[in-house]
Amino acid sequence: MKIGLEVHVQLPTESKLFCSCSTAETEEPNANVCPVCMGFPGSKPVINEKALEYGVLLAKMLGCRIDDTTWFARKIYFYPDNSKNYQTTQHDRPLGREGVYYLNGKKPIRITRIHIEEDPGKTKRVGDSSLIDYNRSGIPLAEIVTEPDIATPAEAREFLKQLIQDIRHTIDMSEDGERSIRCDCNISVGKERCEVKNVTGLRNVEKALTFEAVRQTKLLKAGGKIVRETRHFDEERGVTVSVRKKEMEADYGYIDEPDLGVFNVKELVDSLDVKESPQNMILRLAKEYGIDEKTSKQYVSTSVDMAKLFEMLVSVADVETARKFTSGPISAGWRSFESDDSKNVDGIVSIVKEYRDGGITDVEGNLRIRSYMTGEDMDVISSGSSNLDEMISEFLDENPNVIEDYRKNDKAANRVIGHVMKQTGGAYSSSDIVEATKRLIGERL
Amino acid sequence: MSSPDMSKIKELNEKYEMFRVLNSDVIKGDFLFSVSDSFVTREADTLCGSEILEGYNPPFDADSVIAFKEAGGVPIGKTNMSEFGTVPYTNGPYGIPKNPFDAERTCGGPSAGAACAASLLDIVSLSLSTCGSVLNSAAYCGVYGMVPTYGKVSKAGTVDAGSSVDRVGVISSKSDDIVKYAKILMESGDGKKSQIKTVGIPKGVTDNVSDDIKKNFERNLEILKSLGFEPKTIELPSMKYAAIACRILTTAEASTSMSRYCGMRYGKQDGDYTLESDEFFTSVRTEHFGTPAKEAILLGSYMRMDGTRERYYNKARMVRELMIEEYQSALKECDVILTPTTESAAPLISETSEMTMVESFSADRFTAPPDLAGMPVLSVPCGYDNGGMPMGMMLIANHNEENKLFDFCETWNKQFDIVKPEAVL
Repeated sequence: MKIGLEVHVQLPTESKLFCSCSTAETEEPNANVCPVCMGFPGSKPVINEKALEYGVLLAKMLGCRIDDTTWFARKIYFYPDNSKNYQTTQHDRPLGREGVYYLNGKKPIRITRIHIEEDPGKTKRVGDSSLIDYNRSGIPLAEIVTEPDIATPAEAREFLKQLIQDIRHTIDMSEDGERSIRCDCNISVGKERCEVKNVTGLRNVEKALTFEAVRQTKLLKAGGKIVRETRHFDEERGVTVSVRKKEMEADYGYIDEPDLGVFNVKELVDSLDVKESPQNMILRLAKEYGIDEKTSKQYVSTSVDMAKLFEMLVSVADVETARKFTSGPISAGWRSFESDDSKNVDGIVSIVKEYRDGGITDVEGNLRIRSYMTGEDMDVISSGSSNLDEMISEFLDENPNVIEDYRKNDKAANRVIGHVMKQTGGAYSSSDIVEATKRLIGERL
Repeated sequence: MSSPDMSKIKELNEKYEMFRVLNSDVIKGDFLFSVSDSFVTREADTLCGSEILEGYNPPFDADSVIAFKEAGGVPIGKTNMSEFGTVPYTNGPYGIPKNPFDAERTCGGPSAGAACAASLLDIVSLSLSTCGSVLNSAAYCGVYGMVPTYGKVSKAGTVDAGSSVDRVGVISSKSDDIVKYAKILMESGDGKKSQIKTVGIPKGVTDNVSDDIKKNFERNLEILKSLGFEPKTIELPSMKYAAIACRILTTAEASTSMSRYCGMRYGKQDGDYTLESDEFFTSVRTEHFGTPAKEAILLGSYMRMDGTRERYYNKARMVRELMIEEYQSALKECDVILTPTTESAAPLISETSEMTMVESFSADRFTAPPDLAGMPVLSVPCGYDNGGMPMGMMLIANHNEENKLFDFCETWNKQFDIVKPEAVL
């Protein structure tokens, strides 16, 4: 089975790709529009430099070859929500080519290209009529195209998950669910491929691909033939349906976009440094500090900032101390710490320094860090958590295989959680139990 | 300047049809100017010579219109042009501009009304040069025409046909005005002040031109020599491909730019909205585009489709690169390049309406190549044939060397006595 993806990511600029209209979401239709994004005669596009910058950062993150010059193209197709009846995109000279992304830091997924383009507007069916909203017209997108190097629908999902995490980190994109990511999925089990267009969300990508894999396999077994076609994923029914048959490559009659000219991006490319991507950080932490990859993954997935704190603690104390505190109270208290502007990492570092200098014991250190991060009273934590901690530790002592299993699959923690919940019958909140369990398992890893 | 006599202008317009629309309240200002219908203006609708845009009232002014207004200019009206500037002669639905020297004859295409107005009203005209149209029309109408280097004048607010070659230019019967108003439009400087000494003449430049043009060109060469200029034969081997390459790029680009006209958002919006979108687009475009736009869309789409793109569109882009190289190497040997502006004086309107689109393209033989390469150009009136029809010659300078052309403008003005048409206001 071969799977290749075309991933569309909305770039987090404040204004649109070729005009100064806002990219903010709004309920009111056609509120953020102007002559440029409405394609009025006489209007001329002007590039949003920030979008180019984000594009370059992503191209670098994906290890792409970036030419010194880049330009746009007109892709002509008639559709009511396509305001100029051509989309301004890139064709002959995409921003980046021939990159590679290492899934789990190991398996190479080749990146064919990354380019920048504008989103069209949106058509909304209301009864018998269609209404068009051009608010999205001209929203900047990056399209990342992979080679068919992905082996299974599950792998496609994992690839997307890691890729999106890295993209968000690279261009400082806020977490907004999976809304801003759209995907065209190409899949073949035999010779010919089908494309499932415009799938939103990781789960749907996996579902659509699984459905297609089964459909194509069955069809081939029954002696049928796969036709190259574009299919649509029906989210509600969980099936793909054919939209266009007999389609080879549509002829879009591409030409260079004469209104924008050629951009020399060499200076921009040289001046921008890409932050270490989360996936690379996971690998580096494991290698550099000799910690479990599972542990470094847990740190980075919780937050890149938390992983950075771990490194800071290594530098003030040692790896073992840093690991113990990070897996324990720091992981447990991270969410509330992160949302509280009055707290900073220095507060945590100074507690760890006290421990290092022998001023406090590790139990005191745990308590003080937790209290500092969550704002809870120390006594409450110690009385509450000690009972809970004792119960969990007892269970872990009696069932050492839980730790072994956890290394392979973190769902093993559920056995502990289930046990404690049964025993305590609602005396502790489930989030406290989960936190304590993960913390105590973390200490034993 | 006193207030313009609009009733006289209206009267002239009835005969010569240079304006599609005259502005209603033309106030007193420092100078009057006309605007081609391919520039958006707040005062009037913008149709680009096409029915499909009827009803389009742009919510903004083109940058060059703003520049003229800020310099004290008052727009007088929108001048007629061929539909979306796609063909070299106007036969459009809003009137055909008549040549000021002979009303049976043409003024050209995209810049026809602009040159006609400049000649008859003694005003400065703003026009877009499509495949050399500003210079062509200036020569046909016996006035000066000038187009700065590609990229030096903002094109915001212009509805261009071939966006990678179209440029904003000025037309006027006064050489001083050409210098003055071109400078107002240019966003950056016009190069070091320098005089022209050597004049490059492309080999075979008068082959296949009319006898009148040939004789006139040769006589003017003698005059230039007597004024101290040194002619020098140069070679521009790719020039024979350049005009058609310019057409290919223009039609290919125009066919995409015009895809937006589909009976939605602006312009004609009287289509049948119960149709499926593809049928809707087809019906609106079939009904409201004129023949020039339809032919340009067909031809231009063919130039850029898979299978033909390599042969036409891509090759035309190569010719552009070659042409720029050839101009630049020739301009190391000489200060400017001199050629006739057109192959003949203005043809009869009856002839032009019989021409096929491809036949009409020969009109651009001299003026399209510098548009293709983005070189600054100047056409000056330089004589009259036996029938009294004006003829022009043109100078091509290197990128950003407008100053050489401005300098020549002054020289030529002292040397040449311009004849004004009898009907001049």
